[in-house]
Amino acid sequence: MTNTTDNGPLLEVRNLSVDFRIDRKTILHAVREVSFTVGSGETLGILGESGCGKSVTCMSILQLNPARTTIYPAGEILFEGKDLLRISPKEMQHIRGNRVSMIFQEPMTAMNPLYTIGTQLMEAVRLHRPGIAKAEARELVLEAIASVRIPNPDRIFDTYPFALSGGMLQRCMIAMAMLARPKLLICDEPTTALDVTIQAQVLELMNELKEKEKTSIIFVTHDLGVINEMADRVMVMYGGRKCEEGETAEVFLHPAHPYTKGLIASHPSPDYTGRRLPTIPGGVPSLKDMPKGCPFNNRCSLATEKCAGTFPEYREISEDHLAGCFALEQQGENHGRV
Amino acid sequence: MEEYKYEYHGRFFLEADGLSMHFPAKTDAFGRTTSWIHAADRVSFKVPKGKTLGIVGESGCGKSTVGKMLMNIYQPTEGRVLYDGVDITHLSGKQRRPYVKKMQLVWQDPYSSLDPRMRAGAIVEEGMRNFLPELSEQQRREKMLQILNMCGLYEEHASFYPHQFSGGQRQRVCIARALSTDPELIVCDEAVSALDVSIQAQIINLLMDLQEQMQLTYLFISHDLNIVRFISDEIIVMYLGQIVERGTTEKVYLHRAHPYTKALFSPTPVFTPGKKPEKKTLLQGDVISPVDPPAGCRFASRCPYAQEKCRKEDPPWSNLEEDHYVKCHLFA
Repeated sequence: MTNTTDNGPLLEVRNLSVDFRIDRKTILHAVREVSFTVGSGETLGILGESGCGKSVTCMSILQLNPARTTIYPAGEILFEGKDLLRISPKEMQHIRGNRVSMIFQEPMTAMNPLYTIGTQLMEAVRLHRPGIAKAEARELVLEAIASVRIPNPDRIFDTYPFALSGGMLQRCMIAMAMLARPKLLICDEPTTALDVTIQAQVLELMNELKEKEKTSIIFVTHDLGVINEMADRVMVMYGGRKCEEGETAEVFLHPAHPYTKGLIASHPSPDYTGRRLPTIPGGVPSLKDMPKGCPFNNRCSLATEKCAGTFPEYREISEDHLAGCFALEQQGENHGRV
Repeated sequence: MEEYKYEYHGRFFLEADGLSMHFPAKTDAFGRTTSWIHAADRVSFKVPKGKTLGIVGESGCGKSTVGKMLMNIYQPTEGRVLYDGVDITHLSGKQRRPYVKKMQLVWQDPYSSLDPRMRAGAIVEEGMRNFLPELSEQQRREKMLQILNMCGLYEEHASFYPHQFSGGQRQRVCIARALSTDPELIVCDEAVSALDVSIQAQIINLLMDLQEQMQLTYLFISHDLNIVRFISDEIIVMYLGQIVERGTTEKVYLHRAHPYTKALFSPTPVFTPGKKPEKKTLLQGDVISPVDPPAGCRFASRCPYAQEKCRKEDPPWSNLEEDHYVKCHLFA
């Protein structure tokens, strides 16, 4: 495990499953037996397409899934030794936003349009540090706004969200998330809604803050390029399952799972000159008709009968590189590497 | 007017000649417009038949406006649209009809651009009912099934409602609908941006297959440079309503010259497995407001190489090499 402190990883998710109850009869399995760890100061990228369970996994860490319909049939989420699935809502409230913060995809909808940026950031400070003097809170907020490299923090403080561009708002969100100096920052597609040149600015800013504050980050995205730039380790998800996990460079250079291979191939490198893009046939299945066994079996070229029965055990490809696929057994020790 | 010499000797199929679109931004007490949003300014290009022109830029650069002017959704403030040599800018509804049939649009979001209460078959047939009245019901159905098939859908899909499709399939229905009137030109406005990564490649391949089969001409509007590069023969890069660089795909992609193009290409975390991306040209700040843009280069406020001259004078076009032009003082 890279970058792990002596007393174990900061966050350890073991065997997490998440179900949603739709009505009396229907229960959808959104996440199945997912395990991963995040060491302190480490960035874990979660890569997957829509409906693969990457956001639900993150929401589970902060207990933000709708309480009435969500069931956690199995698993534990250990953060600093505490199981977040089994603590009281009050304790959770203390962790949420304080020790663990989150940045969402759409900065326009994540901010309240009726309050100024300053009011919203002040609220965050005063909720987490009750009794703090107003002037002191204001100082903190201005400092936070300046730290995400927004010019004129004073002016932004009194601005409403609609007057800011997407990139500026996302910086304000980052400022808000970093106010309490969290140990873990969860970013759910933070740059997907932004323009490319703005995305680059935001990514650079996040890397800088990470260096400075030594925050651990979980970075959720469908963009392989962003993962390549941001993440130390990557976990690839498909249909609610983890299919591959490992150090980013290792996974991208030697992908073992057929889905990871397909994903990487459909992103041609700059010198790819073929006439057609390589593709993965078929479409992402919805939760309702997720295939049994390995969820990828209906799109996989290597699928056998076995794949429709059970999900394979994870196999170690190399040190700190896991993949779950029956095809790996047949390929023997070299795991498809040439 | 900009000088851009087209080296192509065949006939141009679609020409935009100095298209401008200005929307009123503010009016004074007498209702006179005092300032204008310059959504597009003097945009010109020519596309030969069966080729693809890619338009790249950030949000607000006017790329969708250009598409909409071609389709006459916006009436351009200035300039002309020539379709196969005929000026179609100011035609009446009736005169325009034959051209409407030949030009179709595929929108970004397949979720909102299909009528949720119509079956896929009816959606595809609707265009035929309107533009191909000579077909009998039987012929229409046959043609509809044939088109669905070409787009990678099956016969049973004809009776599906849009919500029963996945995102990629829905985009296939949109493409099928666009093909139903036997078009020659298809404007794809961010046609793959809303799709999943593994599906994007399928749709791009489908578009390229269809182009080969039917000699279609595409105008491919997107912010995703990797995809534009893959499908286009020629690329124009737009910034704040103006074209800043243009040329054949290879030349623009490999020898990008304009500081904006460089910035636009470099931060897309271009994916090379296992290799950390190189040092990037980071742009400071946001796109400036398109309301009454300043004289001089519109990119000057964000350009790392901006000089005094850039803020005062509109940069001229310079020819870098064959089929590669840039609008920047650095190369003048």
